[in-house]
Amino acid sequence: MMRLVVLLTVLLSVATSAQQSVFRAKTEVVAISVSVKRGNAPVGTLATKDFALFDNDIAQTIEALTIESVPLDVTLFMDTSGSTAGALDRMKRSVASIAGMLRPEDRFRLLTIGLAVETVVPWQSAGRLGPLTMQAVPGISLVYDALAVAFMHEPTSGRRHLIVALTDGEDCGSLVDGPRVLEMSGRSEAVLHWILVSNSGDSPEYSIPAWCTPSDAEDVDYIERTADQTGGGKHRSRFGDPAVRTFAQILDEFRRSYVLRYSPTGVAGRGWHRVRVEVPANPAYTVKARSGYFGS
Amino acid sequence: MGAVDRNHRLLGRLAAIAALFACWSAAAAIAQSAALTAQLDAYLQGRYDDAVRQAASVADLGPFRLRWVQDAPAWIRADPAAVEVRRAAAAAFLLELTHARLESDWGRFADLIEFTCVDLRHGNPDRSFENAWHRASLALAGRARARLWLLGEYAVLPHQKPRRRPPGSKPDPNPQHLMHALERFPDDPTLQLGRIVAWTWGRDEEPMRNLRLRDDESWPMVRSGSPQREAVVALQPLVEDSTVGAEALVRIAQLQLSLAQPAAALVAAERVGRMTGGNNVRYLAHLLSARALELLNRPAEAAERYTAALELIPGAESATIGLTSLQFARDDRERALETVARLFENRPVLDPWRLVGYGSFMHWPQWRSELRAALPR
Repeated sequence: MMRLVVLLTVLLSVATSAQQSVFRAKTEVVAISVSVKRGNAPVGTLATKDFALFDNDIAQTIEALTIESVPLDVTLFMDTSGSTAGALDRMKRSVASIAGMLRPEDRFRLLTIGLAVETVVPWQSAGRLGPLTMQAVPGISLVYDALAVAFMHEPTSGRRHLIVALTDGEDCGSLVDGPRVLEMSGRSEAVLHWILVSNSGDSPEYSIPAWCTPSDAEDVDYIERTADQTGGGKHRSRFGDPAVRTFAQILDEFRRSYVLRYSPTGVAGRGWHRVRVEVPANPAYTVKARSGYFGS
Repeated sequence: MGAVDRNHRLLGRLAAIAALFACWSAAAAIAQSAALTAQLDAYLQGRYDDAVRQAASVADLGPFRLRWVQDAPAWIRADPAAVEVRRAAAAAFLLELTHARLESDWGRFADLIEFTCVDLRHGNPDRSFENAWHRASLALAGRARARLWLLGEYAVLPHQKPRRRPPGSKPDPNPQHLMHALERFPDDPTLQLGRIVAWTWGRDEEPMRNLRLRDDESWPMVRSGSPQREAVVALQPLVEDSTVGAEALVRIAQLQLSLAQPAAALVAAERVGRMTGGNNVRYLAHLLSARALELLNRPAEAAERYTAALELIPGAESATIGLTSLQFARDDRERALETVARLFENRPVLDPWRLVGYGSFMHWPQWRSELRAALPR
């Protein structure tokens, strides 16, 4: 996972060339979360020397690599708006199952949405989950706002932040929009996985209908794009046991993913940094990494 | 003969079971009727919350609906000297009960409200009470965004030509609840505003975000923006009104944002600052200004407006998320993280932005108080 521009000490030593100013940016640490697979099986035996990492196409020296052992902060976001309200009981059972998969040193919180973004379970140690008071509120569907809240969390040192969103992805009534969520993800250290669950037809017959704010007006799936940008992804599933199995797969893969740390050199400090990670000796491996970050 | 006896015995048992069931049904109906009468009595005596709480706790609303149609008129007529007082109490009780079950059961109450509305109109109600009742019912229908129920299928804006039902088509089955209210109170600016706002619901198809609109049939309609522009025209005459002018401007600002006209939205929202309109409306004006300023790439001013909104309603979620997401995206991470961590600690119950799409529902607390105050004694 990426440790974004932490204690950003931008030592901007300006070297002047004939044509333009060249900024040398020194960021304390940038951390990039990388998963490597051979087919569907995670590859967990790689070392620093096996990776090649490029920041804005400039090769970087990887200073550290960690895997597996770090404890996690897991944000689970469950869409309890009208569009998915029919699955509430299955959702509750799923939350209990999911929390049960975490280790004692992990932390867990549960966000839901109704007429507001709700923290049904605030940050707490995994394994201490009490009775859940989730309720479905028909009407607006604050998916973007919930994701914005989810991204605005900074784990303490040595921990990683995993966000898993179980939603149909259809936003209504959020204050923030798709581009803002995408931008925020580029400044967060979290990895987002979206489990696309749909429950059409289960909404109570006599309840009030949904309303929506105007469209993002672009042919872009912002949630999918956000998930990809963080190094996560989009997974199709169904509420209940299938979603729990999908979560288990995500968690397993996340625990077996690498965190590569480097100090960017030879690149400008500010703006978007495009990051590319390769395993040169094994081009057949599927490498999935955060695609970039915003430098400050 | 033995077989005949057995058949007779069997028929006798079945008859006894049927009689028992009929007795049980009658007893249940009597009990339900008594419960409704007691609730109406309690409401009439001013024990509003108790009466509504008891009625709302019923699991199955089916019997209640039947009892309401059969027993509420009888309860109203039970005291000939106080028919209008009772009629008003019953009508107000129904709205409060609807509110208590609104999220899950709007569809079960809508026809009862119209049934009661007809009764109210055919009586001789106190004018101020009737007006308050219509506003309260408008607020509830707003939460359900019941455009057809309020306006009917062939509704037009005040400045538009009437639409006629095509020859040979079925009559409009919608009760047009708000149009009845406007017939009774044509000069009420609140109802006039409600009519325009309700007209906009669903007119632009309001697609959900994050859908691939290329596949959405409503895409050309959404892009045209024609209904929103018509609504802006209809709202203009109300902006000078001392009662609803500020809210009319807020609605215009919102429509302009949906038309991708942030500069026009900003002009409308900023005008509210010099008007009175209550905290909710002023909060919305700040929030809409902030959104417009963000779109105009003026983030520092947008942050100021979000902050101004939070001064009006401290801890409100929408402005908090707006402000912190802006800070977060502008490398003011520490402040954003600190603020958002406190978001869930002390949040006000009502966030106007979360309710702005539900018409006048954000006024329900105030309008319920006015409804109770207007009850004839």
